[in-house]
Amino acid sequence: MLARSIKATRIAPLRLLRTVTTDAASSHADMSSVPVDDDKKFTVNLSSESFESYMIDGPSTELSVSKNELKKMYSDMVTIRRMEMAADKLYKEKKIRGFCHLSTGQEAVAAGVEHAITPDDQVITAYRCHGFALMRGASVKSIIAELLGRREGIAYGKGGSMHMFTKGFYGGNGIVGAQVPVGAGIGFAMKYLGRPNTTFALYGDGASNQGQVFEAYNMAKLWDIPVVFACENNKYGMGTSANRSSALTDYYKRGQYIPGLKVNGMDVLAVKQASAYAKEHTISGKGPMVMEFVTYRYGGHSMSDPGTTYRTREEVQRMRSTQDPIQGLKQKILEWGISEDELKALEKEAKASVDEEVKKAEEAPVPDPTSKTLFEDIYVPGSEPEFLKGRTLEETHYYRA
Amino acid sequence: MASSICRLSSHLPLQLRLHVFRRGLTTTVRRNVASNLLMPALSPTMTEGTISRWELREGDTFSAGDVLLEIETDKAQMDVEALDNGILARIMVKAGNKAVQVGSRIAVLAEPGDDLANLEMPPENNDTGSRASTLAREEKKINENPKGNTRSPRGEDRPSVVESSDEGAPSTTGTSKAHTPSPSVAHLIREHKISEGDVSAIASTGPKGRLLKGDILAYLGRANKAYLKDLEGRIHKLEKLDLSNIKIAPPKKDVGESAKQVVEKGPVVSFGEVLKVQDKLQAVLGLHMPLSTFISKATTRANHSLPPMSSASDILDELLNLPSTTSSRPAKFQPKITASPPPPPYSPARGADILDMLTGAAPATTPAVKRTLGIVATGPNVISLTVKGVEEEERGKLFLEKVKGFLEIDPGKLVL
Repeated sequence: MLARSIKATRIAPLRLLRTVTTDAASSHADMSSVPVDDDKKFTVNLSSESFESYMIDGPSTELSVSKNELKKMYSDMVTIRRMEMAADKLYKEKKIRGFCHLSTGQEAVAAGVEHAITPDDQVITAYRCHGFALMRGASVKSIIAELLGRREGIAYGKGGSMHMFTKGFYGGNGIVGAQVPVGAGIGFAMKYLGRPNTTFALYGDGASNQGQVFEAYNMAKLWDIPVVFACENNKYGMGTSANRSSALTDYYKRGQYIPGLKVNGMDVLAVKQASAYAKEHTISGKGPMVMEFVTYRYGGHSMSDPGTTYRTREEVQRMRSTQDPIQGLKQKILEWGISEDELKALEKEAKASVDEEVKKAEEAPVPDPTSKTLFEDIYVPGSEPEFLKGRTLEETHYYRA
Repeated sequence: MASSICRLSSHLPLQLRLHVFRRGLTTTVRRNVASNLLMPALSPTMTEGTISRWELREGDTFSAGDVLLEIETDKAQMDVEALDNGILARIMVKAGNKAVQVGSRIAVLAEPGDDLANLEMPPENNDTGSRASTLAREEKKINENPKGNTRSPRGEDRPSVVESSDEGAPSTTGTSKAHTPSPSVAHLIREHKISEGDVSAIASTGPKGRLLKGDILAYLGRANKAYLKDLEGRIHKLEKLDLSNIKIAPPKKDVGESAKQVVEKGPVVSFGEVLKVQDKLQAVLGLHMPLSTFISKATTRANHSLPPMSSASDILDELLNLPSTTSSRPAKFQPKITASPPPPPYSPARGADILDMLTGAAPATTPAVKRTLGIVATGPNVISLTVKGVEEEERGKLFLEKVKGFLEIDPGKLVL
């Protein structure tokens, strides 16, 4: 009995060592190799606990970046956070109605993936999509206007928080897990067209138990589709922690016959390195890959979830103060010789631009409450039928009045 | 290491200079501008709330995620978290204020590092406040009288209301435009090549002025116009739900206590053993123990030995490992012991007509059993019990079994 308990205690720290860290500031660089020039690349050593792989070697922990890239990543993440905060504020002022899922705390995933791929690569994600939409090239104004239901919105104000699309970005999908097979389809299109591009199909830990996810895995592996199934594991589904909903919480091993990679999703550099590796792997004809970004959301699942009923406020505050992706990167790049003033200026700039864009979005006119507004964009202009039925006969809309 | 120190020192003067420069700028040229904290809507339906507590005092600094205040809505008590780092510059609405409108200013927040003494107070943003309140008002209006569709049946019931609320609202389609004809009507129009102008001239009798197949047939002279008139009257009558023929059912008569009672017929019990014990007692102790004492003792014992009444909540409590909420009071059954009736005299079948039996014309053939009351000490007796309701039936049965057991098996235990 005693021996067994000793054994158990000896195993515990070993298992702890094996897990991926969520430390946002775990990378190191040799100070003598950091160049003064902002454009020059230098080598950053990621923590050995940044990745954990399954049936694959995994990426190198050596990453080459320039100071300009670091600054861009920083300002991207700050912009996402500022935008999400603006959305939160507008929601609480009752200007944004309906669904709204914010990604505060998960910025490193959206920013890191974007910095590893090109505009020709494809991204599709679930409804926590504001950050990805912004990274794929949407403006803050078009996103906030979409949330406000304005015509200037990215989907003309008809999609709302869950449905945002732009070039190389297939949404914003409201059905839990449904974007995963669609993502496999986009990847198949890339392969079919012979393009050297990959597709990132992102989903949450809550959606990972959907049956269609596994169907997509099967087809993707069967046809060696260049798709990266990336699970953003923020540790909680809608009110349920991952280990209460999933029999296997090692989401990167969920592919079974597909190689997997678990990544520190709080460190934007680790995300970038892993995403670049995944892209390389998938487009080289080796088939799909399953990724797991270990991250954390500070807010509730959606605006109607206070987010403190299934986890403690202390836990959220601990993550916020010790593992924040923005603070982590800031700490590292200050170490690497970018001045605090420069970062402050970046922050100020991000805040000012977000504030201005939000103001513009708010000033945009509210669409006319006519049936014309409601019934447009259903058909390609010119191909509409004579009329379309509404809920009752009286609501019938005639396209050619 | 040495190189990094060297680098640091080379950076230091520049940083320091910049810092001083910036400081100088902020104190002389630019004043710090604070921002308003508006009453947040913590749920989509919330229009006002009560500030139950401020977690911070004026001048306190906070970081993102800290709880600023606690708000009580009609539904729940919720914490308001800070979105960003900052300082609580001024509290505008003190704790305990009730019915604070969503969107009204409740505090002024400054950015971290701002000098509160030198803070420029932002103007109360009337725009957002008034907009929020008009929003709320509009919502109320919508809730009070649903509009939008001018032709809604409710709107037709109250034309004055519709007129007043529809001012300025753009008209929806379908009011001026002719309705899309139903397939049968469209088919007839096509088949008989009726021109569009002629169609619009046809009198329509359908609901809300809809053109019916009958209208076309009447126009073509293939249907009776009088019948159509009749139909139109009926349609208009049935357009609105007529509830006048519904009569309110009389309240159900209170089901008497007696109706609920179920008489539990128990097993046959013999007092042979009891009599033996009685004799023994008489012989050894010279004590006469009446039969009623045995019965009452057996009753008490049986009542005490019954399992406690378990309700659904008890079962749940047990599952949740909670202490039982119901006290285990013993049951209070009182049995009735009567002499067992003699077997009914055999009466040969009268040859009742099966048809009569089926139609219920034949009288019941079972002879009425005359029950002799009182206990027959030597013969078999029947114990019976009156219980309330069906749910007690099971317990009643168990009780009777127990009484029988106590009286028949070693009844000496009852008195000794």
